[in-house]
Amino acid sequence: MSTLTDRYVFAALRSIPEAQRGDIERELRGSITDDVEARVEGGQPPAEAEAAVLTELGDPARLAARYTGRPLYLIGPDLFLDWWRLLKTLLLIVVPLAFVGSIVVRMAIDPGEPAGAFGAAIGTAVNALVHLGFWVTLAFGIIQYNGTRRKDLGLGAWTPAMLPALPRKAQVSLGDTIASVVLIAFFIGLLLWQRIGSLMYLDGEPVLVLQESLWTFWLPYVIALLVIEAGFAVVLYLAGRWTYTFAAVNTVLALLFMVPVLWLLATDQVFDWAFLANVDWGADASSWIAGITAAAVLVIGLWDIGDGFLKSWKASRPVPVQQALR
Amino acid sequence: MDDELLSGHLQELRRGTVVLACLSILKRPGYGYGLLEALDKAGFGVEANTLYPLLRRLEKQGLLTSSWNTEETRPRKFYTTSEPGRKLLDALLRDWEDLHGSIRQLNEGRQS
Repeated sequence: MSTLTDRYVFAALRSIPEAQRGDIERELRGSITDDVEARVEGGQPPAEAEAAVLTELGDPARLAARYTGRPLYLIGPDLFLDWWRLLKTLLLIVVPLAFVGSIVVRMAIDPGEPAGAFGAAIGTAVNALVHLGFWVTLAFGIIQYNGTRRKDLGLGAWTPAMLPALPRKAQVSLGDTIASVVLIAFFIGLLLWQRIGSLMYLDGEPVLVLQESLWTFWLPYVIALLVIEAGFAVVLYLAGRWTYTFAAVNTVLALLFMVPVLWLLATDQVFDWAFLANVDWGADASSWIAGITAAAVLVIGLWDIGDGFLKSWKASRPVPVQQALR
Repeated sequence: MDDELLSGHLQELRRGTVVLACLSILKRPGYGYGLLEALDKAGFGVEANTLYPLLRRLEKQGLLTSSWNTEETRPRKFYTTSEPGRKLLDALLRDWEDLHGSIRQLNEGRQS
């Protein structure tokens, strides 16, 4: 038996279950020899004939896959859409949360390094992206390799009820969502950073703008609320449109922020007025600063609540398909 | 006509007919390479790397039976269309005839 054929048969049998090997080997060798002999009888030199026969049989791994019925792809058409949808959903939820979470943790541990925290957060987000991509694809690859079908996994067939609602153009865009998540992360970073860095300096020493006692409860509360707001923004983007439920949740979140902050401002528990010693803004500076801040919190909060309901109302009106696709 | 386009569609059209041809030819016992030649002569350009695994699949489905013939110079695995294989072939042939009739009807009177 010639070397080239031996090597070919060995390569092909390697990935075939042992129980079938003997029979397939005997038949495959016979078929190759039949073909080579036929070509030699036709006047071809033996070595050339053997090479030609093996070339026609093609990659031995491909032949073995045909014998065993194994797929020559990682994820087939049956599972592809499930893989793609799951991956997209997980990436959209986990990557922004990893970004915000990383900033919060880094700023809590080391508030003096906002740039470092930002860089670390980008690193964490990229890490989350790569890990999700790898593990989700690996899991689907294994499911596919085992020959498991969608229906074995309990995934139902597609029905018209699964059709998504017509999207409202620009109602919840990806850009807006990313912007709000980054903005929230920035605010959290600012809150943590001002504790030691501050925006104002007096004789080279940072001046605290917010009262230190807020750290016992109210600032952690606000930071937790901001993280929830970021999650809300992502969920809203995934849903694609405002509903009255979203508007209600948005209202609750806004009130959870507005009411305590307004109360804290009214009872003078927010600002550390020591920073006023740095500047000369008049005797009643503390009262108008608190007043303007309270007005801003009130206006922005009410506008946010109203905006949610307005968008929900707009989204509840029918929209022609062409307009939705534009 | 675009050769690539034509060969693509011809390949699609002929995909299922290889099974039909195999079950037809193997009413009389045959072995791998012999069948490959017979199919080639009949105009089915099947590749060896498709045919050999296909024979095993049809055997696994019970449409072919096989036995080793060790009387000749080298042992060969002979396949024969089984009783279920013949029944399947009859069903496929009936469908083939129906398709042929339908397609002809669709094109009748439209020769140009």
